[in-house]
Amino acid sequence: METGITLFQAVLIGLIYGLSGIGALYGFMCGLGFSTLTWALLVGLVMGDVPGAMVIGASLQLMYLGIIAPGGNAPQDPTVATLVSTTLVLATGAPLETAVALAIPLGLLGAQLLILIRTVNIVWVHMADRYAAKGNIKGIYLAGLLYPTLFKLPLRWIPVTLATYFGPTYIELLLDMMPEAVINGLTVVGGMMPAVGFAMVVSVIGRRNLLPFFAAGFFFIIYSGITTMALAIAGLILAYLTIMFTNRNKSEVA
Amino acid sequence: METNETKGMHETGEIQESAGTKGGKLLTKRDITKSWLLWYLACEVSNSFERLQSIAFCICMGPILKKLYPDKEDYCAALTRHLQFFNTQGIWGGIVHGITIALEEERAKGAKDITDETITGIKTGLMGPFAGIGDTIDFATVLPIILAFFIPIAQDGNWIAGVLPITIFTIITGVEGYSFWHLGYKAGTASATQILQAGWIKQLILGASVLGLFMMGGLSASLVKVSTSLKITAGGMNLVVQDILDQILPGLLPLLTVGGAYLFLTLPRKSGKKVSFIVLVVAILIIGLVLGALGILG
Repeated sequence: METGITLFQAVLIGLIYGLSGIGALYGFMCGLGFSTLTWALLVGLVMGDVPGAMVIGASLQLMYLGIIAPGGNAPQDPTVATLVSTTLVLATGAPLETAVALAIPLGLLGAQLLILIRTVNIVWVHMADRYAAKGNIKGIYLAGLLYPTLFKLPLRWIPVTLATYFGPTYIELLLDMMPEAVINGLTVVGGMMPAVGFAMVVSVIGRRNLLPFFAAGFFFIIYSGITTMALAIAGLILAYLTIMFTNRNKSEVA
Repeated sequence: METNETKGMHETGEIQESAGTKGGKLLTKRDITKSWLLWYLACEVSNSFERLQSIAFCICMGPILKKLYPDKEDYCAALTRHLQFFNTQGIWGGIVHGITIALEEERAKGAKDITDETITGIKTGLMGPFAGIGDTIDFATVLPIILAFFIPIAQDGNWIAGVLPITIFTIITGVEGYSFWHLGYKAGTASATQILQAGWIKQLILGASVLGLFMMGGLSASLVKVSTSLKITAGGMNLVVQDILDQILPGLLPLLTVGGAYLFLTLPRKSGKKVSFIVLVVAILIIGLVLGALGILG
């Protein structure tokens, strides 16, 4: 498969990150913020390898599955982690497992960038105060929509373009130096990392007395090897039964 | 926060009864929907550390305040009022906006007892509880279930896994957001208390948790891949450790890995702080690299 990245491709990847950060259209953009599958698809389209990108996106999605942002503060930025690590792996032909290792520091950097943006956004609030005192709603629109966007767009676009354009050279150097044992280790990490995402989800939604449902799902699949759709249907029925029986208990008591 | 909430609700409960007799709405359904669309557009764009979603709140109230307060001074004061600190989850939190709009409408019709403090008290009192419900249901349960469902499809290299999850999530949250906004406006403060105490929310969370846990368990079984390559030679016999493990309990190592990660995240420690995502990821990175390099796992 053809590897390498052109400047035009790097500019496009950067632009995707720039646009992703605008934050308009709440449900859509906030959902995307956790959806590495979609970012991987876009990288795949730009780099011309959709199937490869989707496989990487799946392994990153598993790691980031349970990440949430209470109060809007996420410990990681899955978007930039996916965009840059998927691009670098596709551009260098590195083993897919390296994407997971690359994503962590990238996601952490992205989270810092968000802190910077939120700090600078304070400027627009004070601007809006002055517009409000004059009853200037147009000014408030500008302070709440246009100015933050003008600041964020280049701040996110340029670093990602540089990282994806110049990054592959360093990644290739790194890969040449990497001993066989480390590559084996990364493969093991790739298999184990999904446990993080599942553990995160369970730690958020799972009250301790509900944990047997996790074990039920686990062994249901281990022993039957049934499809995901069948798993979902069984899960829906279980959820319905649980709600029905807890309801009945209450009304009998009352 | 809680004292604000109860105080605010109590006051408006009385206000709405007294204002209800006056009748006549100043706002149309279109105004309410337009306000929701503005919020949906602006919610996270200007999020700042000082006042979080304050500008977005002001923006979505803009056209409504313009219509309610023809007097310029009242209008400017109202805009300033809604530039105060505000932060919620943008979907379920919409109930708070709906209630706020209803309160502003009553106030514009002359309800003298609705003060700035009433409105701000209700906003800040309700934004937290609804953010908690919204985050739990939308972001911690619904989204992971949808995404997890499509991960096996993505592993086959199929592009549809990049399109469908976000489409489904956008539709679900869109319907929710629109409905809660209108619900808040129609039903007012009383409805907020009802919703927060209602049994159906607890049932919904219970059902979603069961579905989520069952799905996560099943997908862990097929997607977490941990196996050992150890071989024991004893009495001229080669024993493959993984084969022995499979005979005892298939999936033992993956289950131990997820269970270990879960305990690592949730067990209380002396410092009182919970282990963060990053610490867990780095721990797994190190454990996997070492055990993989030594040839124990893999």
